[in-house]
Amino acid sequence: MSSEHGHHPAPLTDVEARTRALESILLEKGLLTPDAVDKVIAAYERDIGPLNGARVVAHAWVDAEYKKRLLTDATPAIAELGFGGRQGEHMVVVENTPTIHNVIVCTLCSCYPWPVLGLPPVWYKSPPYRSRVVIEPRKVLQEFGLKLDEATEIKVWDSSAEIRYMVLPERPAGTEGMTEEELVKLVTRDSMIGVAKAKMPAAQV
Amino acid sequence: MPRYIRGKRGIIEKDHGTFILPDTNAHGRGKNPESVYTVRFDAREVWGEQAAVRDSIYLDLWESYLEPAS
Repeated sequence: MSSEHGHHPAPLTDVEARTRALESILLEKGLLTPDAVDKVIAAYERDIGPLNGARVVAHAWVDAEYKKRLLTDATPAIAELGFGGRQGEHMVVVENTPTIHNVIVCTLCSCYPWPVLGLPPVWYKSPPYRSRVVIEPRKVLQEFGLKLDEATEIKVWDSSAEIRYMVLPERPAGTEGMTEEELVKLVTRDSMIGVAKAKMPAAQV
Repeated sequence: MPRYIRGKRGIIEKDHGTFILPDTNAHGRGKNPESVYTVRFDAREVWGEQAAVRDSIYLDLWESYLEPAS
């Protein structure tokens, strides 16, 4: 919803206007209550976000058996940590290795694994990302600051049906002594989409 | 079905079981569940020589989108 500044309210963008219209008519027809909208917004602001995916990744890094379950059948493995639901009913987790780099896209729209990553960033939903990452992934990744060498095999996963994908990034070097909770902090949303690697640990003094 | 792989050859990597076919369901013409497969395409098969030889694209496709490779 747009904010109003004194006597000169900012004009609504097309998306804001359309959203308001849809919300109004759904409320008017009794198909939606204001409470329902607030609950969903709160859920995606507070509870459902990339921290969930980061927990899955960190757990896979420290527990080899869990990692095996995650790569074999991701949906129940993710549910073991308490995550699941809308847009995560059919999950597949793909593993990055020193020679294979995975990246996720939805060329048709903007399908995204909400239960583990929350709502998608604007760039993920934009036509340039959606069209270019399938054609020139190496160049797109470089624009995100990720340079992969020529020998690395890039796999682009286009979520064109009901399956939703998440990348299991490589565990960074120098993290051998870290606890699972410390490892969670290294796992970024972008590393689970595949446009970045996980963060390196802070240098030890 | 994403247009960019129309007419391209790929390999079925995984069978995900059956899903409602949106092509008919979204138009009120029935659920018509079909198998959905993850299909792997070589990047060069899809984009030609400009693509890296090792790269690949994976898509999830309903059975009726596929024809046996001749």
